[in-house]
Amino acid sequence: MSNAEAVIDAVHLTKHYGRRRGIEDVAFTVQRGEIFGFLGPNGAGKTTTIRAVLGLVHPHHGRVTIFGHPASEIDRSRLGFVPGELSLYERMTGAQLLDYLAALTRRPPLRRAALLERFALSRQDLLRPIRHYSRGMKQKVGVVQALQHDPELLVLDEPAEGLDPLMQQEFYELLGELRAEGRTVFISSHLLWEVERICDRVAIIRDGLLVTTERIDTLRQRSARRVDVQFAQANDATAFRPPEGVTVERVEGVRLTLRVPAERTAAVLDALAGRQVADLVWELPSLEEIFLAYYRRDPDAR
Amino acid sequence: MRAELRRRLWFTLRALGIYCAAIVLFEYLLVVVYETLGTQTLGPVLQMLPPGIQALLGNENARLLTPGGFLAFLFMHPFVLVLMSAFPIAFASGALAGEVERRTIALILTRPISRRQVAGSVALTMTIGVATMCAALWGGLAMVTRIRGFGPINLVAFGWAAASGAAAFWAVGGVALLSSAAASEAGRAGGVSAAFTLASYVADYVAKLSPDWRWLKRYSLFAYWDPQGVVARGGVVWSDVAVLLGVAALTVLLGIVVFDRRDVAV
Repeated sequence: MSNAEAVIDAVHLTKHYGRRRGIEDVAFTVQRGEIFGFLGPNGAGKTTTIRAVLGLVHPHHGRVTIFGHPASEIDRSRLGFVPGELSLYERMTGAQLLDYLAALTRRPPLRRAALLERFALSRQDLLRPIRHYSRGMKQKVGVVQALQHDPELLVLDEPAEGLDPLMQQEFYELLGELRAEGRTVFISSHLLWEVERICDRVAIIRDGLLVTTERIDTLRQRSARRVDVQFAQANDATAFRPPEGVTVERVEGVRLTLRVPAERTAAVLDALAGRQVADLVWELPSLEEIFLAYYRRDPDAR
Repeated sequence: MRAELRRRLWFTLRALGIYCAAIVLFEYLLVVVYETLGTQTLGPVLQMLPPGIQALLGNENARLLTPGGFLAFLFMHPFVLVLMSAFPIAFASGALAGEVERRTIALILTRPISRRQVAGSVALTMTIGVATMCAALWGGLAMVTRIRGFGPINLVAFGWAAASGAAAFWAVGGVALLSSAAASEAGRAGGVSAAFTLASYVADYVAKLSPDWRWLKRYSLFAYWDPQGVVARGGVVWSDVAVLLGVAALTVLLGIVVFDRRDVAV
């Protein structure tokens, strides 16, 4: 990944809203051809970061470059954007909106027909005013307007909100295809299972500060894993003294559940040696568990 | 920018049509009222009015009772002023602050069109809209007087009055654009612009009431637009027009700069 071209490069991004901190010293790089997830609960600074990336707000410190140029100077026809809380021109029809935005983009809407078919938007649908659309239909039009001109970089803020499960599935498949074509996707979401499924790397933001930026598999490998031990005898479970750094989550009869930091794996195996173990299950944590672990940590500990 | 301008013009047409139709209808009604009452009735009524109301009417009574003087008063009628101000204020407020409030601006600003072009297309649409309304003010008057056989009036002088009116309402629109460029809610932008316009009108009115308050005149936009004087003279005072055009140009320019530099939190 280190040799890959940086599509988005954010350095020391800081933005305050009056006395309230928006984001502080946020820095990350998104490489060409990857799907980069940006995680955090509401108010953590995800949308402020996206605004800074898109040049909608001016950071107090730091800079963002996209395709090697400052965010304010890039050729925006290379960009596709699905805003969070999508709002469209209600008086326009779907077709008028797509034509208008394509004309503003100054790139032919090469992908439009395929996208409309994929998201089951008919010609009749597009001839109706947008104010008569359901939320899901508006979201589909939002996705089509962002992708119809075949952009090289997609910035998506909670893009699957409002889509039904079938359409969400279709959307994630589409993102996978775009990655395979070398397109870059920057996606912000609070749906951790969707991020875990589609993203190569994630950044976690908390109270305006970036907590970590890592590949999901590395993050899982580095995080504490859950170990379920089934002993042959119940008193082995209660008598077990965990090595330093390892915590006992639960003892239930012959079953013992441990939380083991990655670097303490050998110590656990040593401690179990000589005991009668009937079964041993190691589980890597889900992204949700990793995320929650970061959020439960004392902010001063970072 | 062409696509953006086309969209703005297209979605302004209906509102603009309604404003223009209301102006022409009002002109027609006022002419009918004048014809129905006649100078025999209107003369004594005008003389009975308190000085405060007479200051609102502008012209001296004798001139008001002539067809030309009466129609010149129509240009300054509060209903016409409200209509002429409402369009630039409502349009400019809705176009920038309104789009930020509705979050639709994100669809535009993430495309290859600069903020200056977006604000510029709003300014251009507002300029065209105000010019159309002033053309309707003059065209309606020409049509109504022809249909009703009302006159005699100097249509060229009324043309100058309408043209200088365009400068006045471009200035109102410029202030509205500046307010809209800085705000994130259409209501707030419209409120500030409407308050400015109302204060400007009140300042002009108060200045007419007493010599002690005449100094207020120079701070009012409406002091630089005198359709009754233009009709009486048959031409405009160019220095007044220059002030109005200057205010319009300056506020539009400032609006574009402010919109270019502000944060758009959508």
